[in-house]
Amino acid sequence: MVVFGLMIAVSSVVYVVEGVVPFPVPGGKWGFSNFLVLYLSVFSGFSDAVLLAISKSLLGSILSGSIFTPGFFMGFFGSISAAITQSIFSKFGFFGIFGISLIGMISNNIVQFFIGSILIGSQAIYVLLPLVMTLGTFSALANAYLATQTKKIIVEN
Amino acid sequence: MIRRSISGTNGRTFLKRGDMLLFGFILLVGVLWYFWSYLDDISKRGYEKNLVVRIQGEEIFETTTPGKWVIKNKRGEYVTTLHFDGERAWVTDSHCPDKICEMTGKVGPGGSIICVPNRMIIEFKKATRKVNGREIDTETW
Repeated sequence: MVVFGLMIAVSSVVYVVEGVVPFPVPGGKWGFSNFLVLYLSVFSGFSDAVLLAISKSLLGSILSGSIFTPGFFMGFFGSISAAITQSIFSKFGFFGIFGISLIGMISNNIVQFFIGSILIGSQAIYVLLPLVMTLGTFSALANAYLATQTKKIIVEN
Repeated sequence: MIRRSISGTNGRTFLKRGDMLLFGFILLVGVLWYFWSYLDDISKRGYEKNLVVRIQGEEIFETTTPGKWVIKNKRGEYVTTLHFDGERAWVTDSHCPDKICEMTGKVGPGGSIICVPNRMIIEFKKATRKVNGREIDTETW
C-alpha cells in the first residue's frame, strides 16, 4: 500500500511537471507519467494499473488546475485505456515491455483523439494522430526503460 | 499486493521481435503520412481557400478574404483573433488560458488550429478552383 501511494505521488508529480516540458505538437505531452501504469500493467495486474491511471490523472490535474477541463477528460480516458490494453497484452508472450508500452501509447492516443473529436465536434483532429504517434514511440521507449528500472529498484529493496 | 505479484513475474523481456515490427510499422505510417500531407499541400497551391471556424461542430465563420478577424461564439463572447493572408491562417490572441491555438502558428490547407478548451477548430474547407469566374471541384482536362 505504501509503494502504491508512492507511485501515485510520483506519477502525479511527473504529470504536472511534463505539462511545462516542450512538445512538438502544441498542447501535447510526452506521457512519461504513464511509466508506472505500464509497470503495474506488466508486473502487477489490471486492477492496480487502472487504479493508478485514475488516481494520477485526478491528482495530477487537481495539482495543475486542469481538473474537469476537456483536456483532463482526454488524458483521463486515454490513460485508463492504456492501462487496460497494456494489462491485456502483457498476458501474451508476443511482445516485450517495449512492445506493450507501444500498444499502451497507441490506445492512449486513439482514445484521446476520439474524446477530443467528440468535444470539438470535428474529425479534423485526427490529422495530428500520426505525428503524435510517431513522437509517442520515443515516450514508449522511455517509459519501458523506466518501468524496467523501477522493477529492479523495487525488487532490490 | 504489488510486492507479492512482482516477485513472481521475473523473466519479462524488454525487447522482442514483435516489438521491433510494431515500432517499424508505426514509424513507417508516420513517414508515409508526412509524405502524403506534403504532396497534398503542393496539390492545393493556387486553389481558392475557404477558411472556416467551427465551435462544437457548428460553423460560425467562413471567409476566403485575407484579413484580421475577431471570432466570437454564439453568445457573442470573444474567443480568438484570427488572421488569414489568403494562403495561411494563424491566431494571435485567444480567450483560452492554454494559448495552444497561438502556439500552433501558421497553417495552410490540410492543417488545422485546434482549441480544445473552447471546443473550436479552424480549418480549410475542400479546395475549389475558379475558372472563368465559376467554381469547380475537379477538372477532366
